[in-house]
Amino acid sequence: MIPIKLYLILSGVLFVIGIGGVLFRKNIIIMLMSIEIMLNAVNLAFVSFSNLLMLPKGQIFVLFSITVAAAEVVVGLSIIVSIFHKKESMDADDMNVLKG
Amino acid sequence: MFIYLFMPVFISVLTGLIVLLYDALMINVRKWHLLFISLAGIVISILYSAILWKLPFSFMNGMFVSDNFSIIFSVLFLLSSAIVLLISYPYLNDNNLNFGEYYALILFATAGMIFMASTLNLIVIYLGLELLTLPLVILTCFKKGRDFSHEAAIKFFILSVFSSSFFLFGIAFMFGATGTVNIAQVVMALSTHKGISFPYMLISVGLLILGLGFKISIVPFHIWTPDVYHGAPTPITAFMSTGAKLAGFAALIRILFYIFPAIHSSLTEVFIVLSVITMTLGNIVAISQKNIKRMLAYSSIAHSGYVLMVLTVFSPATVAAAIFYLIVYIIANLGAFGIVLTLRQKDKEYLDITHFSGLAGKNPFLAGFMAVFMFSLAGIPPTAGFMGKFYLFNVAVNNGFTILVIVGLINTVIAAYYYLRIVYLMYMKKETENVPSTISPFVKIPLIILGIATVFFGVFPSSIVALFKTTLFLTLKL
Repeated sequence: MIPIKLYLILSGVLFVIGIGGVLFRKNIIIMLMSIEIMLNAVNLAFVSFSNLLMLPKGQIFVLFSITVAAAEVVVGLSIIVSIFHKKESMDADDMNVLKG
Repeated sequence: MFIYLFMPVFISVLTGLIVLLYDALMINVRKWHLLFISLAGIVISILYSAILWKLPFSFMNGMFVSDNFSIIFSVLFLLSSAIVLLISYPYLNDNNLNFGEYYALILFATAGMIFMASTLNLIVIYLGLELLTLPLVILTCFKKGRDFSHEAAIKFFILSVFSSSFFLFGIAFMFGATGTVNIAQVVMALSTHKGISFPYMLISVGLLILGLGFKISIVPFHIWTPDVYHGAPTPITAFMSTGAKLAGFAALIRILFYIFPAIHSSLTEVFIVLSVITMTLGNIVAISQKNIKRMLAYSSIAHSGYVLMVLTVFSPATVAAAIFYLIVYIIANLGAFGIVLTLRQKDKEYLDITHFSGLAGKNPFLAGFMAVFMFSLAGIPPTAGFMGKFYLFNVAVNNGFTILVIVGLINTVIAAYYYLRIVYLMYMKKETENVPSTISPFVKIPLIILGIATVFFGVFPSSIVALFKTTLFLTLKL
């Protein structure tokens, strides 16, 4: 039996990987994927806490979180597609019209 | 029976759906019908909220609560959406954007805000936050074909989803520390199994504040604000800087109110630092802005800093002062954006600060109202902004934050420079280029109401503050 603490550590590591992806990668699709990794890290944390505390409601929260993540991807990808039609580029560095 | 409690939020969602279907299914849709249906829904929703006043009720273990705090905020959200819908109507017509989706998305976002203000459950706050954010992202790129509106939308989207995943991680830690996500039960749960869970609790509160701090644009998390405010269509900027920001504050006040007793003063210093850097940076950067929307974006960052001043101590006076300040701020901000909206010809907008030069000679009505709103944002009597700052600083001094108040006063002086520059340009300068202004009754009527409200709250503030003091706080603790 793997101790629950290890799951929590894994969840923390995944979350940090996600943060790194959002902060250091330039491709918008990869940034979106990193955000998905962060959300899944949270789901893992919810499930392991729910196992640790013997409270099944933690697993219900995961369902909400997955639903919201799906809605986010729909909105995000549609914006990305319309940007790609316009700019032919996925690079976050090309998003430089607004500044000051 | 329970359905009555949900009525404000239920009606705003239902109205959104009706508007969508009406626009899609009816032949020969008159555009003002859409506006009329949405406004009717909002008015009914406000009336239902008024019925629920002073009938505190908690439903499903605090998942949905209806107390005076939530009702005040619900009414403010609904009113600000109504005003945004009114002032955006001529703008939508001129840009060929007058679709049912616009009204529906604003109404859905309003429902999300009401959820955020009327729950004790962190998961429901998260769902409300997302229900608010996703429509706002779509509305940000509603004006297709403009380069920077897509750019603003993707920046807003990535950063808001990024920050709300921090918020969700905070909820996970709260759940791990206490076994509950109901903030009213957190304190009790923490005292029963102390020790191991306290660090989790601190991490959790940090992450929650980070997530909400993004929404209300506290300084380390403010980077999105100027870009998104600049790139979004102007009525949506008005919506973001008033309703959406207010929703963040509603959730923050409720969370801090319940959680502060659990972690004592560990957070007071953090809030003092955040408040000081937020207002100072917001005001100093606003001085150098050329674009009026960017200037108002930095000014809205600074105003968040002022409110944060009092959020470390919770008493009837502090909550009343904070809410009064927020009301004053949204009135003046909606008015200022309403006037920015009128400086355009068809779909071309004039957003430079210099475009305000000589407005007083051309259109004294607009210039007069703009001056009132700028005085209010700067905090000059007899406008409401002065009384808002007076109550806020008064409460802060009474609670021993004298240094914070001194910083706040210095900031008010800095802020007066860039607000009064607009007034100076309008009244003292000659017109440099021919800036047209289109003003329709849809904008005129809200402007008159907002202007009267600004002066009214500036002259007779005590009645409403006293009302907040007596009714709000008692029922916040269910």
